[in-house]
Amino acid sequence: MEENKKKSELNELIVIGIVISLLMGLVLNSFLDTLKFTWAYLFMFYLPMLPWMYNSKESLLEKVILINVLGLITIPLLLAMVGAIINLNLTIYILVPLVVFCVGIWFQKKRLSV
Amino acid sequence: MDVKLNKEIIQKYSIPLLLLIFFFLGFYIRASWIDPELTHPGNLKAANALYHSIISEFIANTGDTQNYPYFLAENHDNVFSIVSQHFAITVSSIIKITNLSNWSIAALLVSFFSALTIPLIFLIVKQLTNSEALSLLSASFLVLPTPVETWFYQMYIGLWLQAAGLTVLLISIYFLIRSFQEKTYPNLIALGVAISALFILFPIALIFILPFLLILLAFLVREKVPQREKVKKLASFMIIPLIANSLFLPIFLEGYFTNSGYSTFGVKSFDDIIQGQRVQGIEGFGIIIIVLFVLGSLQLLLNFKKYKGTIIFLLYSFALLFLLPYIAPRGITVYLIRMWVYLPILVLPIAAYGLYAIIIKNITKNIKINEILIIGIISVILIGIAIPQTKELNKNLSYENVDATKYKAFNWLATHTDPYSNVFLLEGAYQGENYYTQRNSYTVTIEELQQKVNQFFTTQTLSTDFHSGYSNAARWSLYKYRTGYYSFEQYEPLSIDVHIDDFDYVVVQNLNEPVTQYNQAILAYLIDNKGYAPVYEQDSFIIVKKPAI
Repeated sequence: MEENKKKSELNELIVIGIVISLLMGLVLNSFLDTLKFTWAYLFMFYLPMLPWMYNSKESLLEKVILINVLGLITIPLLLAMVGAIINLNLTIYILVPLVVFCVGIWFQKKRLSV
Repeated sequence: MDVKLNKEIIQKYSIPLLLLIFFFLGFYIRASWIDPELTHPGNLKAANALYHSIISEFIANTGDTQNYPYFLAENHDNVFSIVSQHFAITVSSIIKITNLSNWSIAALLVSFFSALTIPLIFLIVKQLTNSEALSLLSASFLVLPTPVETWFYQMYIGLWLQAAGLTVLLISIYFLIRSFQEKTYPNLIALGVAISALFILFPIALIFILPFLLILLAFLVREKVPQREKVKKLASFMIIPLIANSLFLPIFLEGYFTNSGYSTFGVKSFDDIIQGQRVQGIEGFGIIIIVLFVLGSLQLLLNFKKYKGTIIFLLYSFALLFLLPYIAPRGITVYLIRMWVYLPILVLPIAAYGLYAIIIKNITKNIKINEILIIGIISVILIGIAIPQTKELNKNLSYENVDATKYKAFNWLATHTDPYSNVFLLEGAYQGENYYTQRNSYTVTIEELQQKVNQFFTTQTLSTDFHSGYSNAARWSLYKYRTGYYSFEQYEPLSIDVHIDDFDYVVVQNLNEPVTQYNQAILAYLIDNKGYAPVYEQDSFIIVKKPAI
């Protein structure tokens, strides 16, 4: 029962993420004639924070807002920290959100297994 | 059964749906004021916007986040940058992945940041009052605070760090409230991340929350929990800010505190503090909002016990905005006054509280009507009032600061010349459009150009000495470069007194008939006497190149 609830919550988060991205794509597309920005945003800032907010005590609405705002502060901050030590390149730009995403999944797995 | 289910579904989704509508409407309208072109910066109005866009492009191209681009630092590669790393890196990450033009990404991202204030105010008010209806009403007030041309000045003029800084400040405030309410690890870590991001985005905004952060720290130290847990909580809160500070504080201290503009306190008059600034104070809201604000403030005072933290924060914020500028250093005063555009965030939720507590509550008590429905109607009215102003603003902003022909000429310089060339721009520089040459540029101001043209026609003499200056960013960090973790050296800035033939390239723009005649005389001098050769002649722009030695 609990497991099903968590699964459906994750599905809802993913669906909402896609709906928001499509709406965002609609707005951005009217200025840019491309959806590239939307996908890049989704990859850089939304996706990495998704596992971190999964199964937290906030309402779904709060979770969606927090995923967006946390992504927009955390990823650039991490990139700035890396950038203070070495020059940024495409690999780093891709690696940082991926690492945040993977650590989030690892963290949730560890938390749920306790 | 079905009716009950429908009611439940409506209740569950009405608030998220309304908030989603508010957010996307806010986002679309904000973006439409800047309305970025795909081919050229166009509608970007001020140096700030062009500057942050080009810095982001530079970071995307070189990966260097620590130093100014050489072309904005008199051809030095290592003058350290005190520009917002957060915003520039956010933009550069999208540029790197999408290859879209820097200005359009910066413009759309800042619109997105600004629109995020709508759901953030929803979260903050909900956290403080636990009322979704009031939170939604507060958020609806922020979709288009009127008068729009006043409260969105920072957006369309390009003071983008103020706009993005406000969003990250609100994120910090939200997690600060949560941390005061529940000192849990996730809240404390998120607060640490938020204030670190604010530190590298718009550090001056930290003064809004600094005393409250110290109080939280004191609470954490004095909390009656086992020592081990106390240390873990303190570490959760402080670890990210400590890392960020160890990386960025030397540049921050050297960049700001050794600069007298940021470190000399002194009493100033009202005329002094608003000199050259174009933002309005409380009187900019209109009588209805002011009345609601007064009613809301009274309600807050009546509930002092419940809202004492909020009241203290509001009083402190108003004191910062309206009293501190009188004594703060000039460099800080400028930013404090610009931060008057943050007033809607402070005033409108209180006005919404006044409206909610005194009018909506009473209506719903006497008539059986859903609160959310009333709020929906009020929102439509509020947005409806702002739409004509929005259209008017769109019309007023339609002129282009950097049109296609100018961008084409400057982009030619950026792509066809040696990166370390020196360029002389005789085109009456108005804002930072020269950044798009991506070359060390000497920009003749419109005043000096006018004076030279007048002199040419009245005395028939052609003066080739100029006194305007280089357009660069390095002066903000006093031409300093790092030689160690906390040691710095300084370059000597180039003299602003120059001769036109000191430069590798000279750019002229035939703005009108007198300027065209003056340009012809200048070009004749350069070509006939100094051996320059034309290399670009398109639209109203002519570029000549110095002969190789």
